[in-house]
Amino acid sequence: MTQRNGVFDRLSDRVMNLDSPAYGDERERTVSMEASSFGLTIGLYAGLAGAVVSAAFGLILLPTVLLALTILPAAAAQWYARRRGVHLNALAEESGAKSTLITMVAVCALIALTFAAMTYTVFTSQPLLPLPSFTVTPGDGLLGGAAQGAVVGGIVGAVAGIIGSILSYRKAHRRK
Amino acid sequence: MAVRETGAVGSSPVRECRKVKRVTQAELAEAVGVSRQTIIAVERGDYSPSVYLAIRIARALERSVEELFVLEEESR
Repeated sequence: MTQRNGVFDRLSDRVMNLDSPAYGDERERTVSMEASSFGLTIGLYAGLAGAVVSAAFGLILLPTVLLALTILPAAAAQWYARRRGVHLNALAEESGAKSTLITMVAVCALIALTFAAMTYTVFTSQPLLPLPSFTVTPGDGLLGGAAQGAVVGGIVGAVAGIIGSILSYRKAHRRK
Repeated sequence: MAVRETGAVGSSPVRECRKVKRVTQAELAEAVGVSRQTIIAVERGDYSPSVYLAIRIARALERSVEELFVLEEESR
């Protein structure tokens, strides 16, 4: 097992908070971790799909950011495992599992498609697909009203989330 | 490594021992410090408990771990 005293180790311990009772008992903790992996995987594919689509519409910065945001969690997961003596890459390479091969091919294919679409844009100065133009005038028409409602609703939802979290925390402490 | 219940296919030694002792799933869960859903999962064979939980369950039911849990290959 490798040494785990660095700043990033302490930060990861703080972020993960593995001793938190919020994880429940050992089975619930296992399911929580599996659920996190599932969510991470879905996020990875969604990010890659977003990168392909945005690159096809001629965008350069957005797919680059999406690719970076997709690679970051995967890299963080590898770093976290390596610090605890588990080498995810080596495990994947040595397992010979078909599912691993399919995952690697799918991820690399989506990255290749993203760069191919970006290459087309860079060399021809036009997008692979024409970008549909949306002109939204705030408060004007259905789309403008919906946009205003969405942004205000987002703020209200986020504030309600904060209040709900605080109330749940206080309720849990009263029960103890 | 998979851990399965001992005995015939479909039977659950944990459930049987629990019923013999007239302990409910909720009572056993509270005694060993897990949720009732976890006891249900253990009884169904859906979840292999850690060695610590297996020992706690065995002690709560006054049995040995080997009586309640066995390695999958040994049960064949």
